[in-house]
Amino acid sequence: MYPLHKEQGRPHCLRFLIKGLGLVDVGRNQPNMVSSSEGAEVFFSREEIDRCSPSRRDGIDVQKETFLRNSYCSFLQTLGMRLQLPQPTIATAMVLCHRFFLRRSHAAYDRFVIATSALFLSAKSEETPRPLNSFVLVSYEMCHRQDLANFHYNMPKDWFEHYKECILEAEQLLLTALDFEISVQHPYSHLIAVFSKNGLLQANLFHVAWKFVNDGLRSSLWLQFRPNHIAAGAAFLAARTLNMDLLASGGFGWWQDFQTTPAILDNVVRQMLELYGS
Amino acid sequence: MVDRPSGTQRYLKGVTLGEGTYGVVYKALDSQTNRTVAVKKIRLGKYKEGVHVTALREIKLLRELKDPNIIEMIDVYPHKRNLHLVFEFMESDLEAVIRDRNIVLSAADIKSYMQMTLKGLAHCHKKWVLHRDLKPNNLLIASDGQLKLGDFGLARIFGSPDRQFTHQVFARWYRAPELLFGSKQYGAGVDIWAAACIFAELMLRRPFLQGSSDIDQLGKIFAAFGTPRESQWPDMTCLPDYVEFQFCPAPPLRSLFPMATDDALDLLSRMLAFDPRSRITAQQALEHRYFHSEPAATRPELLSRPPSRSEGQPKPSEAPSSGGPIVLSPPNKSRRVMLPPGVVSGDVHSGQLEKGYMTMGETPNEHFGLPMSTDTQMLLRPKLNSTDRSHLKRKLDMDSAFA
Repeated sequence: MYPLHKEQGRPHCLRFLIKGLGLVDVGRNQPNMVSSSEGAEVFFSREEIDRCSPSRRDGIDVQKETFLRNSYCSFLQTLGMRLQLPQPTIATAMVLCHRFFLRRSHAAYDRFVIATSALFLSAKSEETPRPLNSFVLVSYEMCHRQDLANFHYNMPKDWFEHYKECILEAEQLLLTALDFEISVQHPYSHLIAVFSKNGLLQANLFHVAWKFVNDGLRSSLWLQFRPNHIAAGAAFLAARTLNMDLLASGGFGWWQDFQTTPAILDNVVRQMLELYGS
Repeated sequence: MVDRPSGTQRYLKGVTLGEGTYGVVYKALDSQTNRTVAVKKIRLGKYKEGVHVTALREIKLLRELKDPNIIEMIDVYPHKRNLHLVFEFMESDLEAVIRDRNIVLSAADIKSYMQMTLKGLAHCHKKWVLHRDLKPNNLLIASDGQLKLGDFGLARIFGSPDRQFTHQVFARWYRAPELLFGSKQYGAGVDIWAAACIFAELMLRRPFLQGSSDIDQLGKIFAAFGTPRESQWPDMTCLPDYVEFQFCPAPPLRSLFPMATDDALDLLSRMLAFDPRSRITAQQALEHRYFHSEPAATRPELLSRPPSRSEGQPKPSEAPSSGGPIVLSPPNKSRRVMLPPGVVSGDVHSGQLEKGYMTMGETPNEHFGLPMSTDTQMLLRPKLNSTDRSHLKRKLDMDSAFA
């Protein structure tokens, strides 16, 4: 499940410490990656994200970064579920990670430490807090599954304190990198609003659309589009998956409730489908 | 982008304004705009759980709330394991105004303060934010007389129907009856109730309903407005901590506020409606005829203000509670702590209210935190003198680390 992780060698926590603790602001001077502090979220184009990501400089190409993104997202999903966190909290953590790696390179920071810390942060900011110790335990266990089983005696004595320190360190790093922009808007509320307005909340369509939103979190869509556009894309894909004829079924005046344009919708849908591409 | 000074280089540290559990608040000069600001320094290393959730709430919510009647958060920056929140500098707060006996509050002044409070509140509610800690010393007053809501450390987003909230919010004296009955799904009405208590406090120049325990608080509320009937508040009996109170008829509101105008009393009674669903909203309150009738609200800059905090020597008694823009100040949050049974407590309040003190119905003890005996004792206790009162306040000021 974590193949990359092994490639990178085991003591990645230490690696993180060395590079992370120094608080070397690798991405500080990134061109046009400065987020505004005005409160309004800044969106980037897909092209900008792919071209300007700081990971590029360290030789991580788009494909590799997509893979890395996917890997920390599935890590977050598992971690979040093991800590019994609600989906919006997990989703927020994923987006915080996306925002972070838009400003800092994958080569400089361990994504699992950052992800754990992002979930810790989003759990607090979404008012679903869990004790830090549980994050430390579960995350460490997930990262070092085999080590824990086989080399228990081989573990550094103070690994717990050490890892905890890593996560707290990363929390500050995250906040600085994101310029304290920690609120994330999700498409879930838009989906619920539009579907309930049209009496479709119980329909299968809604559940499928919901799943598409969850899957879509692994893309960079959240950095590009407002939540209503993403919700529209998910609903569109859901309808298509269920072989519903969007135009013929008549009651699709509700389509307008998403307030999106065909061009944006097309873009969102294409990027969502990329996730399932062979 | 030009590299502008940021963090400690941008804000030149001045005198300390106060010290709370979470850290120090000091005055500073923003070298970029030449503006006086208040910087709240939050120690990070101290917490086992990383950045404190109250700080996160403030950062997250104040970013979205921009209004002339809400404190402005100018900047946030980390420095040496400390988190620094930069706020606009606020000269005073409403508690200082109410307490200052040299200030005469005319009907027009009260109207002005209420209007500003409700405007700020209406903006919060429009953005689906509950303040949850309204009280006079969280209503800060700027040098131009504008009143602004401060301290969003307890604030929450509301509106999702299934979210469970804690009812342990607000200083007790400003807590709405549904909170005292343990409701976990409440809305904007809790802020309105608190605003109404502040309204009453402005007229009386002392806290209106000074309960010494949650049950006592309910007793005070019902003594003032009568025990609610099923018809007045249908959902009341379904609340988790509901206890039946002996019926007590409502004295005319006029007897409690002899000086108030009819419009003021009408607005007050609408804000203090028992059923949170029939309680007036902040927006409706602003449209109430009270705000359109004579006398017109005093212009903010003309309101008389208490002497500004003397520079360089923060008053120790004042430091945490009314240190201007100090927002994380647990000593004032403390009143939400329940007194442990047996702790000296008593009827701090004087006046008509205590006559109406009620005994409770035959509901078993486990429905609420305090054993019945505590309340009975309170009935018999003599009134507290001022020494006892400060003792009680200290007791109440012991903050329990809230989760």
